[in-house]
Amino acid sequence: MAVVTQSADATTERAPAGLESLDIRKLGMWAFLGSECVFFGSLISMYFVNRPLMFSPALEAAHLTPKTILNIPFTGVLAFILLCSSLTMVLALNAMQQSRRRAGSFWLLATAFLGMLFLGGQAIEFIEIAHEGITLQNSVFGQSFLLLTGFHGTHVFVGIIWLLSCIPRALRGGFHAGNYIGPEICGLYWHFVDVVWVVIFTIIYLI
Amino acid sequence: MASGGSMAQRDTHSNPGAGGPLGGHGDNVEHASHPTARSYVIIFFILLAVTIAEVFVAQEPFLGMFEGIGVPIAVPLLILAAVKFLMIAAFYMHLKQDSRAFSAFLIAGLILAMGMLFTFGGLFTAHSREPFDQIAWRAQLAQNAGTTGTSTTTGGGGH
Repeated sequence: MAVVTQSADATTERAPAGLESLDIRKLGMWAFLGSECVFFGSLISMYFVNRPLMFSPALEAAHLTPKTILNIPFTGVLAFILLCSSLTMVLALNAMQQSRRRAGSFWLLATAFLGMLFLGGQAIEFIEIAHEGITLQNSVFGQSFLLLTGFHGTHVFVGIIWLLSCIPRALRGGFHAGNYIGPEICGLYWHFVDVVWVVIFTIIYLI
Repeated sequence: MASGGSMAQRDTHSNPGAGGPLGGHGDNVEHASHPTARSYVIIFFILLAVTIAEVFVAQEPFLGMFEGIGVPIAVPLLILAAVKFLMIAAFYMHLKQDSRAFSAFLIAGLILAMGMLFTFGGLFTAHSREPFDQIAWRAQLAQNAGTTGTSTTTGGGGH
């Protein structure tokens, strides 16, 4: 894919037609997101492999199966918050594309705030589960669930830091109609985090 | 998810100011119009409706309704999740307008992830009930031994 032009008599390695015009930073982000699919795929696989062990007769008698422990309406609200943050993220990018720096900064801040709300909700959920006696050490469900949702929460945290780091430059007018690659790549990451939650919400909480 | 146009023509969302051979477009690259804020809001409400539908489908009476017609609840839920996934990827992540090369990375990752899920699922869950089955089997053996009045070992079998 690389384009290396050497001296006149040297051979020239050229990219396949069309690929030269792709933004390398965006291509890199998509390659990273592809690898993230594999990362979360491995965690979801781990949950599925362990899932039959979460429904033993003893656990069902003690009401300690995922269905009885997890609070689906509360998690539905968390899914709604993350969905709202995806909307604010695209509105931020839309504002940057129109060189509306104040609006863009506002929507970036709103996205970060919604991400923090989501993390707060996740912390409440983890505390409730700990009160039920489920931890990383003492149950298969605890290990699988907390690792999967914990890694997702870590991704949300990284996204919040990234969003907040974009705001000062956005306020200074660093992003405008001619240059919006920063919030665009950040947005790709943020939407991916949302998409992962769509999958986790369905597979872990609803099924 | 993507249709029509060459890879170069379809990368409409990259940075026009970036330089270098792989660093982005020059100033002469034509840019397609971006989706409007209104269209993003409409997509949000569709996604919200699908999310609400998901939560309702997972509860009674819909849960019993699907089980009644012999459809596992996972089927409608996975379809709804796939709709949300595709809508976010196509519209919010701009894969509908962008280069197919970007879609290829996501699809490759998804294929690998699904392959891993099915492989490990098949390998490990095929024997997942064995420990519980063995407990039941040993209990049955012990019960049989008690009724016949003979003392036999109830062990046997691996773990």
